[in-house]
Amino acid sequence: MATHDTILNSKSLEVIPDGLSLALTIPWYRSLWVSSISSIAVTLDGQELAQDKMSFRINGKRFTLDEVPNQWEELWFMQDRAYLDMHLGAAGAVGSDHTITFHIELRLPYMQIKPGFYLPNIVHQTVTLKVQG
Amino acid sequence: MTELKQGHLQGTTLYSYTRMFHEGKATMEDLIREVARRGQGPGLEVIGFQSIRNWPNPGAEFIKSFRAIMDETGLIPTSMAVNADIGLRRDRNLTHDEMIDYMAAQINMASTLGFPVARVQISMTPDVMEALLPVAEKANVKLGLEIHSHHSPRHPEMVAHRERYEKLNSGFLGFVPDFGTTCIGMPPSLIEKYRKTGVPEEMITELEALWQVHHSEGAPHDGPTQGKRMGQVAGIAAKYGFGETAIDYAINHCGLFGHADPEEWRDIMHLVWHTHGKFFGMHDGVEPTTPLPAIMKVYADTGYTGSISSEYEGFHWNNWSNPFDQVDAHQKYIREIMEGYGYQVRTKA
Repeated sequence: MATHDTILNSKSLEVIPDGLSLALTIPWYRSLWVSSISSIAVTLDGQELAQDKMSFRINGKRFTLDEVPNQWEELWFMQDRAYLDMHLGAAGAVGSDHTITFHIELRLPYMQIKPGFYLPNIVHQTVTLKVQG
Repeated sequence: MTELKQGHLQGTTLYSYTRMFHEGKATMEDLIREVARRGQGPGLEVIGFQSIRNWPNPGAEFIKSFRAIMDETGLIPTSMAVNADIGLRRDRNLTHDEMIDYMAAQINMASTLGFPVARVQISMTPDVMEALLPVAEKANVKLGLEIHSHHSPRHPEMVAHRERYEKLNSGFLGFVPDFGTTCIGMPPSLIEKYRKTGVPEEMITELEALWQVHHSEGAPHDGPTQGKRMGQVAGIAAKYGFGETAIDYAINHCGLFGHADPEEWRDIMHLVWHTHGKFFGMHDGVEPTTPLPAIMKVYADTGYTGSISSEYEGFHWNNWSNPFDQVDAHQKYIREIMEGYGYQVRTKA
């Protein structure tokens, strides 16, 4: 449910110098601290990307996926994009199509169900996107 | 005809229009202006962490422009929804003192923006609420703990809050009922969405039957019951091949469409400052999921004169209907019901 279908749209796949980037809208109804992200996993054209081949960019800063859960002073605003950069060794080709399975798990920091356990929000989507020019 | 008594203050929350905001189709100002143009106020509720950049420190320019648009449109701030992010750090929960500071900043900004109530949520213990009382009194902002499914007025945690608030008798600690606590079924628009997205008919039947079983047992009063129910829903989803998102079905079914009897609201009406008129979608002028005639009867009997936000939540799955139209229909329905009970809903400041 909850706002899942807004995380990616048809314009979300962009080129970066060493690969591709996904422009993401927060999959929740309010802004959350970046530390609310538990994990991200991506399969690109059938190939699961290693965690160290991706980085997370937000508010002009870049974090490794290991660092993301510790960013509790960085807010992901509802109307801002965060970027998942996929470092593939060469720039992606504008106009090409890619099939992406995107999986993100959040823990909602204000919904503690029992001590130390927070309500999760999980988005799991497979989409085919065209690289934008 | 007998003269109608003054009823509650009509209003809405920008949460109802989340999808438009989220998709970047409207700014906060666009939404506020459309609320005013449609007469969906005068009450206006805002979620700080949704609508306002850099909440709770939005800056002088924002404060000035927010006050100006309230003056210009005649809308009245009712409730600022604030969040208790006790788990924002991964290494530990916020300490008691950190929580007080985290909440105080939001309560103070609610006051600066002219909101008389701050809506708070679970994660707040009676002790934290009591510790926030001086902050609330100084800011002149009442704190309303939202009672949202799966909780209900007679859930032991909520009873503990009520007992503390009654003991303190401060006039500043109370509740915000959410009508999703007292549902009578699953929303037809959600079932429609399931069909649109290829959920098998057998799975829908099983999910609806399970909801009815839970309903006959009533609202859960402890964690294990809620956990067991979520597991049952997730089990059905997994059985039909939706394992990746099974938890999502569980959260939806057990977290949004609560099983409490509307009569339970009577227990707390003396401590209600504001209300979330949660609804999931209007059908032929009626809301089939939240039984408004029964709920509003409690409000009429107790002479509630606070504010009610029409809070449309069908947007989570419904990407085909206009949320402003939904709120229009919901408010019309409530005005009719209240007239039947002898009350004129207040639609002017």
